[in-house]
Amino acid sequence: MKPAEPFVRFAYQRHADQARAKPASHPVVIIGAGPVGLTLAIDLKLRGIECVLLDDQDRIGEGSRAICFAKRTLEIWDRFGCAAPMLDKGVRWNVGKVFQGEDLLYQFDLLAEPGHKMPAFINLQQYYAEKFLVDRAQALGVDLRWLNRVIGLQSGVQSTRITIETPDGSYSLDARFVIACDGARSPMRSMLGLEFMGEQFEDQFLIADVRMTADFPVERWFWFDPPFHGGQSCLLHKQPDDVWRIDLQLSPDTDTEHERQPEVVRPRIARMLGHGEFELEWISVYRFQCRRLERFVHGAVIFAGDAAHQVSPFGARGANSGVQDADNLGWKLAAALRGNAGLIESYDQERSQAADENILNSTRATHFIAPRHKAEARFRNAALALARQTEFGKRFVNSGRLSTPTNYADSPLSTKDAAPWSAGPPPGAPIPDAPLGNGYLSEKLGDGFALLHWRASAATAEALRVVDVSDKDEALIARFGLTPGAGYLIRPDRHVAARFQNLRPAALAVALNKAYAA
Amino acid sequence: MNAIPPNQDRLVLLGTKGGPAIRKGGPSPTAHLLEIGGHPYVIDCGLGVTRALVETGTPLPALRSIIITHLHSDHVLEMGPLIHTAWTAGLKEKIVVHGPVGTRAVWQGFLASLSYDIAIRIEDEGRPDLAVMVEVLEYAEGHVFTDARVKVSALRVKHPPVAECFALRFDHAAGAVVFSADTTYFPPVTAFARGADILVHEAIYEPGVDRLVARVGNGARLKQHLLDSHTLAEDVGRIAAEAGIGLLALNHLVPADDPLVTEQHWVEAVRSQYAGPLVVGRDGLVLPLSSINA
Repeated sequence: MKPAEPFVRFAYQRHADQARAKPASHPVVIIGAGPVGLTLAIDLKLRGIECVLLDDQDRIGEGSRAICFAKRTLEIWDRFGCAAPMLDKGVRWNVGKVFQGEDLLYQFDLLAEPGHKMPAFINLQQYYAEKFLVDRAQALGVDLRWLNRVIGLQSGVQSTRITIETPDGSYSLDARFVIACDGARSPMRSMLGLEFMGEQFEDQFLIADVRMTADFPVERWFWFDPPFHGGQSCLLHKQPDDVWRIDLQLSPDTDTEHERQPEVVRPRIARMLGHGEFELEWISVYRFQCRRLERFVHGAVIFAGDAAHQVSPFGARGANSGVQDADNLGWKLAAALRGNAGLIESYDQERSQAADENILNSTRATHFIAPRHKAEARFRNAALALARQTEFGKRFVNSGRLSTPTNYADSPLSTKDAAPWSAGPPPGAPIPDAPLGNGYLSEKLGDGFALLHWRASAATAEALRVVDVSDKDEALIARFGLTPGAGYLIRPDRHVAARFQNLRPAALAVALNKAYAA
Repeated sequence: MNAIPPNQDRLVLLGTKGGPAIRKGGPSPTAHLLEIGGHPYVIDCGLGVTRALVETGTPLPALRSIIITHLHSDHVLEMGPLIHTAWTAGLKEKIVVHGPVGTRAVWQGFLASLSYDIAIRIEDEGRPDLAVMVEVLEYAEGHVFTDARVKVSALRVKHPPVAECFALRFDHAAGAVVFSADTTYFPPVTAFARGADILVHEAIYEPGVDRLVARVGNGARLKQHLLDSHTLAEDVGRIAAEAGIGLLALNHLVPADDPLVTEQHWVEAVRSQYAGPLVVGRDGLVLPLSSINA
């Protein structure tokens, strides 16, 4: 195994703020340049908001972290101009197979619906994703400061002050908002004395990344009780550069130090692959947690990503939900800085709901994969037996329900439907992509509120981007359940704010007011 | 009790009486020193804070952090003079003052009142500009600040007619110290102080208050104010009993200089509700924060 070395190293640079007699003031300071902090910084920059992005490291680390990036995440990054390199480098997959012992229980195909610009998932090492995000942030001129570690926090009535340690000594910055994207061990969380609530799982999982040029299909394979790893479970994913991710369940009483030794891991994987022609890239042992902060908004300090909530990896709900946090927060922060602070509370409501949904799904999957007691194990084995024999039984098998964006069903920003709709995303739901003209809907909505309508007069005084649907856009019309004269009011984060079967300017203005001025 | 080795984290009660008046031989208005990791935090700056702080062995130029609970004069009167004296003693690094809304105006007013002296000393003695040496950050309920040693949070208490009055909790590596500030009996203090090693709570002693109001005239109205805005010693005992604290220290005592109200009276009043460790505050009392080296 190669020694862990940084994938990319950045240069610390002294900033003019460090020499000022009085702390410099910035609208937003983001702490943590991981996928979440970088996504938010790029969003804000594109909205014309200057922010400072601090990171206590000067590198993007190697190692096994997020690997599955979902369609929604890719759509967000596409809007921010950085999906292309991810798609180029990433591995696309559609087919998942679930085995029990030697036998294939069932398989699924993610690409149920054509006409989306982005694939359902790509697999990509997190360090590549971060590298491409840093490239984009730097191209946009984001104020990124490496080796800047926050050591102090002062909550004022008008602004929040943070004290930062650097190789040149410490300095302070004042910020209207401080966004903590500083990860699962969030120092910001401890500085505010906040604690996670939730569940820690007893079972341990060994994560190994192996490099091999084997002729395996590019599919997600999940085993219950595989022949090479009796009694436990195993997950296999393909990553770029001929790297394969293997998650092996270990029992709670396993000797972690022993299990992570290459000479122990190697024969286990050789048995799984049926050969020994691979290199070990990375080995680590994790215990998973499903937990969250009770609130994500603490005055001017707002938590996002793993700093706010943690899930087990079954379902790829960690990094993907963090990026959606950033997407939910960006436009609301921009509004707050223009004097409309009321939207920030809706970040807490909507993303709390998303966190609960992700935690529920990933907790259920973890319990199914690693039953906590005999009753749970009996139910699990019964479900597997049923899946072997019947179609409907396959639905009970839970090897991780894959990340999808949350429908903010009870959002205070949504306007309820006036009449029933036959199809289409309801208020609060994420919109699906669809072909539009020569391209895709996702490319045409801009970064603010947008009005999607078909044969409606969209006379409105608001600065809304209006997207016309033509009679030829049949897939879109069907997907949104549009009838002539209908329209959707779509939020900057591409969730439905309201929809109307007979679009009228007055009702539209009321809905926009509700979604924006809340 | 006072034989605390240097560098031991400690709480020192610098001034323990309630109200702004002082008398011969009597205690001073409210001020505290909380010293953690060699860093002094001054909580409230009643009259006499500068002298009392010096007597603890703290060099004035070491002053960095002042936290004010509310803007009654018996908590803030000597804030400006303390900072100014630290400045003339050779202050080199900034002082940050955390106070409720209005604290900045108090500081600006002090600077204005001493502008002649300050200008002369800058010019004549080559001192740094005092206005630049001090920063006031106004806080509200919730998180106040976190640094390498402590996390400070504030709870709005009930001290009419002052709306901006805050109990303060200092969490540090080895425990927590909580100051009630001035408040009438306010049950949320119980949860706020939960598990603290030391709760410093204000207290009034009712029989003593009766004698006090008889002495100063304007009796009924003064007594009503004291009852509406301060906590009877018995009620302090209730808070302490429910909060599960390590030590209760009474301060901001009213009355503080009635010879007929002795330490024994305070103890008996509190003991009716609380059986745990208790100390009645007196100026200069030093309380170690951990018993490791005590």
